[in-house]
Amino acid sequence: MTICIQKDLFNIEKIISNLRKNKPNIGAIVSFIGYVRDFNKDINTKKLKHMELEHYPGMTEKTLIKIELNAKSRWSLEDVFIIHRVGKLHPSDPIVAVVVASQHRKNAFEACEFIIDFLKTDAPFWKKEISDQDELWVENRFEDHKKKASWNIKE
Amino acid sequence: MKINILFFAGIREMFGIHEKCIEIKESETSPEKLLKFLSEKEQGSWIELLNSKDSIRVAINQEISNWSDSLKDGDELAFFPPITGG
Repeated sequence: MTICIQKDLFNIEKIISNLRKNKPNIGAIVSFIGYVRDFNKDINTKKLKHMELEHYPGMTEKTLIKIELNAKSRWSLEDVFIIHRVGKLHPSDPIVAVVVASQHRKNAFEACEFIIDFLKTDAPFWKKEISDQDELWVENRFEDHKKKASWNIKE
Repeated sequence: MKINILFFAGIREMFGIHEKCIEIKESETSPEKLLKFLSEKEQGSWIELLNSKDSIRVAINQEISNWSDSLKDGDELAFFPPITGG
């Protein structure tokens, strides 16, 4: 179980090979990688220059550990790796990765989706988009909360 | 009692600071009571924060909390906008 909050770029191949090291019982690895999106050009004339990602040190790690333990209580998992970048990020940069290892694919698929859904709404990160026209803090999306609620978990 | 207040994202920018330690006479308070007290006493950004209270989250000692939860001496209280990571 590893949680990393860092400014630097991550190497997904390295993360996966470290997870698999000395664990021949791993039969499935599912990874989700989130990237900085350029603005949707169809509805927006603005062009994203970069993004600033801020977080709440301490609370972020605590929250991610809680999400991970929650996932482990629901699915049989061999290992989980969550990495989230902070600081200045540019379009197409990777922001986040969730890598889940299990013996069978179903557990890894479901747990990976669960972890990113909860990360989106519970882990204290904030994004600011700096475009050629303005600087705006990103607002939270109703869809993300709906997705989290669909797991039907009492808090 | 002493409360260490942290501000994040747009709220940090509004206050122009990341952290503020305050001392009050009361032995018991809540984020809501404290915010009302500070908006009367110090005004400025505290009034703005109070007015946008419904769209703001609070955390006590790094746990998401309610506005009416009680605060104890030495607690860390954070104000931040809804989360937008990932």
